Amino acid sequence: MGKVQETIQLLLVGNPNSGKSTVFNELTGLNQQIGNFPGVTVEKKTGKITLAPTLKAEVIDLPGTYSLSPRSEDERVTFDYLSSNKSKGKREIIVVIADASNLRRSLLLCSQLMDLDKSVILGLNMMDVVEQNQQEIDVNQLSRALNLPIIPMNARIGKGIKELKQAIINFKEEKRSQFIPLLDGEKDVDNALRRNQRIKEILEKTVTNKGYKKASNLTRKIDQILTHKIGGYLIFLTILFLIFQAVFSWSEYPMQMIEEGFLYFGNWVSEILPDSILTDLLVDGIIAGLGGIIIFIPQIAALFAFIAILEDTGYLSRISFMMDGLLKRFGLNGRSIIPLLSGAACAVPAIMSARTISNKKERLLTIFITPLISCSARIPVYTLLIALVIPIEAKLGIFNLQGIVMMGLYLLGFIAAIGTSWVMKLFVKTTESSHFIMEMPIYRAPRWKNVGFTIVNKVKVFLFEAGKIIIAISIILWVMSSYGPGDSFEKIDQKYEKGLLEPNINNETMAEQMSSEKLQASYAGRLGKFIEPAIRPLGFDWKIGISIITSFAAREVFVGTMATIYSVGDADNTTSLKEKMNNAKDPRTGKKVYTKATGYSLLIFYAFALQCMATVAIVAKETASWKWPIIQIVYMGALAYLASFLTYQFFS
Amino acid sequence: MKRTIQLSEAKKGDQVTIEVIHNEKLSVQLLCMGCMVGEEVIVEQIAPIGDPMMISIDGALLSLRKDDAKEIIVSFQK
Repeated sequence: MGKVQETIQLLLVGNPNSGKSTVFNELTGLNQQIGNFPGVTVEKKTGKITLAPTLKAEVIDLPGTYSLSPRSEDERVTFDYLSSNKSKGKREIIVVIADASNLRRSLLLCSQLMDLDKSVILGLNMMDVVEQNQQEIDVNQLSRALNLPIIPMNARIGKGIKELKQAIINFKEEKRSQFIPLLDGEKDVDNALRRNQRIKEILEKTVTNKGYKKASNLTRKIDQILTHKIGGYLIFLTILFLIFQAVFSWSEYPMQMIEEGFLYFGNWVSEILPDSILTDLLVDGIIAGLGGIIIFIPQIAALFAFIAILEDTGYLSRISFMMDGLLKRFGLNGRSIIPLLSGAACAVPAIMSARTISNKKERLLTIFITPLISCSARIPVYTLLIALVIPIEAKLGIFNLQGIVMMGLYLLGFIAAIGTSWVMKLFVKTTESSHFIMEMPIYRAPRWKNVGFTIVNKVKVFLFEAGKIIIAISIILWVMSSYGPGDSFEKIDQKYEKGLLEPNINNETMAEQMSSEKLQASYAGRLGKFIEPAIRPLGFDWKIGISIITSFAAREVFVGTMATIYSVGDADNTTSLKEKMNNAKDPRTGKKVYTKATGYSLLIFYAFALQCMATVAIVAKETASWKWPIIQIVYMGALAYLASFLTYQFFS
Repeated sequence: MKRTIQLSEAKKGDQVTIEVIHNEKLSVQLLCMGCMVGEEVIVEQIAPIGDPMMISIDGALLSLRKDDAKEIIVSFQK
């Protein structure tokens, strides 16, 4: 006779920095899923484990919280989860993970849960710190005083995990009296005070301090250096430089490999499959779209490796401490500095990294302004246009003018970003409390396993959540630029069919001219021509219009589209593209198209406009709505239009 | 005689005792983080532009903004 299978719900609850996530990783291993709690942008981590042949558990890692009176979105999720029964008839056990070196605080939360009549097991984590601090905890006596099973743990090295599992298996419901019953009309603060008093009394009997707090003293000494008025900032700058290097140049090589790999794969597929619309869709729509998603993985991995280390060691909180006073004035948070600076490499991982900001408004502002920082995808556009309108020998004083314009564009992006934030902070309302109290965890060595988990999880979230949107937009853009209304494409085909078959004419040139004509006849081309009156005040013609439309996929596509329009076969060959663009004449006036005014105007346009579908997708994902990405597109578009207009009028 | 000041006025290295927390919401929040009336506080660091400040209570380090520190009235022990 088979035994009855039972699946229980295991909820992990604890203060931030109590090592709760480490316990979760140790319990579930790679068997975990990342999603969002419904309707909010708080990450939900779940995992399934088998505790015994007849006992399985679904583990949910609830966001860290200090109490059951929520003050942030994260804490609200935990509160809602615990106060309503979400376990749907399943048996529910709550494991409270406590920082044993800071017991009073953890027990406050634990006792609140006990009084909600929950089944609670207490895991005393970080027992190694207790030892270093020369403290002793009488676990048995504490367990009797609280009437709870208590497991001493050091999750970093996996200690106590086996015992915790055993305690869950053996768990028996026991009747408990209320720890601190809520009196009629009692204020939250008074209840918490009484609770705190009783916990203090219990701890006086169960915890002995033999020496001084060594671990926190060491942290204090490190803080003297790392948050030093001058030295602290120098160290921070050095670390930022390293992060920047990692996201910017170290990931360049793998990115190049991915790009070439997909190109090769696409070519291979189009060779083995018969010529058809489906093959085109597969190669130019889907495979190209996939390549456009996977290309971001090296940067995401590199940035999150650093962020995980910074967070794990406790340094991220110090960065926040050092930068907060300054960034607060712009409605931002000390932690906004990481997204803002890594935005110079790529806005996608940068926006994902804004998750470390717990205040909702400050996080939203950070997400909103990050795409204004000039990212690496703008470099090809900047390089091409600067080379086009500024002669290499031009100088401003002793400096090369090309370099100054490049730097100016970066500076402009940064100023626009913080200026936007400064204005927006007046309009965005928040229901969250404005009190900003943050715990500074003690310094510890990073847990490499956690770093690995963070990287894998972030990459997964990006691939599966943002990836869907990016693929969809790629396909739309592909359709727009590969099809035209009526029989316009067939006519072009017929026109060139004869020419291509003749052996004497250079087939390559012919093919390039054909694709140029096709692009112009496509829906994207028509649209480019259609919007020409609107962009003429900026100094743009319809060819630039087409490029603006296609480069909504990603800014660097501008260069490729220009190459197609001007029938330059090899998009990497910017010299010949530059020459062709330089010779381009406006058919109406007969004057040069790419004058200084148009060039500067276009540069400004690309500095400000949100021409990146991956950013749009990730903002939609991170804000759990389409409202913010749409506002962002409109705002940045309007800013770009206005700034380009003024630039063009000024220079012409 | 006890001399009382706002916590925001304290200098780096000061050891003070919390006397009153004016804002009720703030006091609940602080309480949950181990910070309550009667508790001893050491000012550990003040960020270069004077905001925020880092304090330690019972070995735990907290960072709080000047606006919040203004609401906390502390006294010197002597």
